[in-house]
Amino acid sequence: MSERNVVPDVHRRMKPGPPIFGLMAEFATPAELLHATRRSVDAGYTKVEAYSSLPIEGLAEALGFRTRLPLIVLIAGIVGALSGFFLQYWISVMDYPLNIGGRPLNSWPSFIPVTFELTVLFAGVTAVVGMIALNRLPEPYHPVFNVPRFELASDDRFFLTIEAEDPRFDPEAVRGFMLGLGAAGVYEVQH
Amino acid sequence: MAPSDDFSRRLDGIQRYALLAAAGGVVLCMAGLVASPERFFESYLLAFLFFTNISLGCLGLVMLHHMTSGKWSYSIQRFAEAGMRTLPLMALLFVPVVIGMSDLYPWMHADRIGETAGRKVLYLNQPFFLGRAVFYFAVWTAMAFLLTRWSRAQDGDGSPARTSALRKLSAPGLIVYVLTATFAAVDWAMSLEPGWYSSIYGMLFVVNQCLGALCVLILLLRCFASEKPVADIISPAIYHDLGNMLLTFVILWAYMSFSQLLITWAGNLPEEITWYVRRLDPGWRMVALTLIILHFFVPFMLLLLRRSKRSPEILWKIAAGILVMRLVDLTWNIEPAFHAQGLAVHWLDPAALLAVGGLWAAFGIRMLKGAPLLALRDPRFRIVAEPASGTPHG
Repeated sequence: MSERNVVPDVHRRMKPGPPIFGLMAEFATPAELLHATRRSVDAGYTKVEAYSSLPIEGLAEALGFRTRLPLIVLIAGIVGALSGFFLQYWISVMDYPLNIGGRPLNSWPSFIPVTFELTVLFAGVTAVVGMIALNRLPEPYHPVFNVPRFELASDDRFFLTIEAEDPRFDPEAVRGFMLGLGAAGVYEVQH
Repeated sequence: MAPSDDFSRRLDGIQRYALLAAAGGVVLCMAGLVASPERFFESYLLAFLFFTNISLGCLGLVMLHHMTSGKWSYSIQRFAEAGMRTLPLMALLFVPVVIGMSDLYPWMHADRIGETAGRKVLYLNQPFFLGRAVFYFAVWTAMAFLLTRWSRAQDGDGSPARTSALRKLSAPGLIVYVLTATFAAVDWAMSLEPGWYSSIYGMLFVVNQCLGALCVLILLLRCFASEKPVADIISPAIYHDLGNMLLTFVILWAYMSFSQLLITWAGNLPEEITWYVRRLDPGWRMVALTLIILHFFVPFMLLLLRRSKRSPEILWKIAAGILVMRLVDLTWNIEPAFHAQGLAVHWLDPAALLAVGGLWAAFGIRMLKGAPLLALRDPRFRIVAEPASGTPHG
């Protein structure tokens, strides 16, 4: 009994959004998807997303995809280099100075290999973790999977969605636009 | 398809300038030879090694191309072939080095060298040295000759058998190239200080050769990108690949140069460390710092950026900068053997570079004529040149 009362409450608290997530078009080849993406962006749609099982040259540029990941990895690499160098500097010069074959305590050439390794380690781990975090993974639920045909996105089909949050979104106009691009099918994506 | 008349005329123009530069350089060198013969031979050796390195790098890259055959390497194949065909000219230009041998190489005078080096005269003696040089040039010239001949024969008959013959030569050819170039580096450059030795030295020379050659090839491609048929296939993706290759060689240069320093530093043996002590003398130390910054850090950072690899306008400037640094690095490697005290740059250095470089460029440009700028009838070329998006052919 009590559970049934909860359900309408949740619905009431959800912010009023568009009734569907968006519209999805299906394409048979990467070239068609790339072409459709370019046309959609040129037509002024901003909430466009493309789905493919393989990397397509030029698709990221067509979508205007930007990422801060290179900058984050660069900073992590610099932090790694500095910590690698000063770890050894601190041990050899400050904490436990040893005279090794008459070389100076700050024997920097022999510090370089570890400095390099830590640079790569920090940058590499940050690249993987940062990529996952910036992709907001893990994400247990996403509306696109409500379309049964979308399973084929990991096989041999290519999909393009125009989301309902797009200011220019109008279901009938978008459906006509997608069919005009040569879509093999256009599906409503439920929330 | 024969190269257009316009293109031939352009090559003729460049060739004329190169010959003019060579003539000026030769006159200056003659004057230097009379004024201070010892200094002339030092400058000449530097110029000879700088351009021979580029020719040999071209040889290595051509064989690498036949082994991998990517779209990017087709774009530089014909330029690299022209570069390696200057090797017979370099054999001829080796004669002044032979004439100056007794001024250049301390092991020519048994009384001048120490005990450790003294035992090396079994290897370092004039007849054996000359015999080896003849052998290197014979092997290199033969490989360069066959590689060009078969590739150009394919322009005529389009036979797939040529492709497999080129591969069968290139696989062992790469090994032969690395071995002979290693021995040549030991003979011509390392033995300037016969007491010193480094086992990575030859490999470092091979990397330097490929890096220098790649810089020249990028400059040539940028220069002739508007000529047919290169203009049909050139794209930012090709420059991107060349830029990545450039980055690889820059990193390899830094890695090997540093490895040599680290091992010497760790060993701290008198006969090894003296090489660096000379090269870290005030004056030469500034050159060493310049190399760390301008031969590694600056090009490394620039080549990490996607934009600078995809834009020919940025890439050629980076390549030109690295090429200048190659000369600085070679100078830092060779000249302290003669002048330990401080930075010693002489007017004969640019004069010798002008003479050797002018002849080298004129000869190389001549080799560029008479064949299309792409191996159009190589069966693999058609595969890589096919547009990926499946647009119909016009």
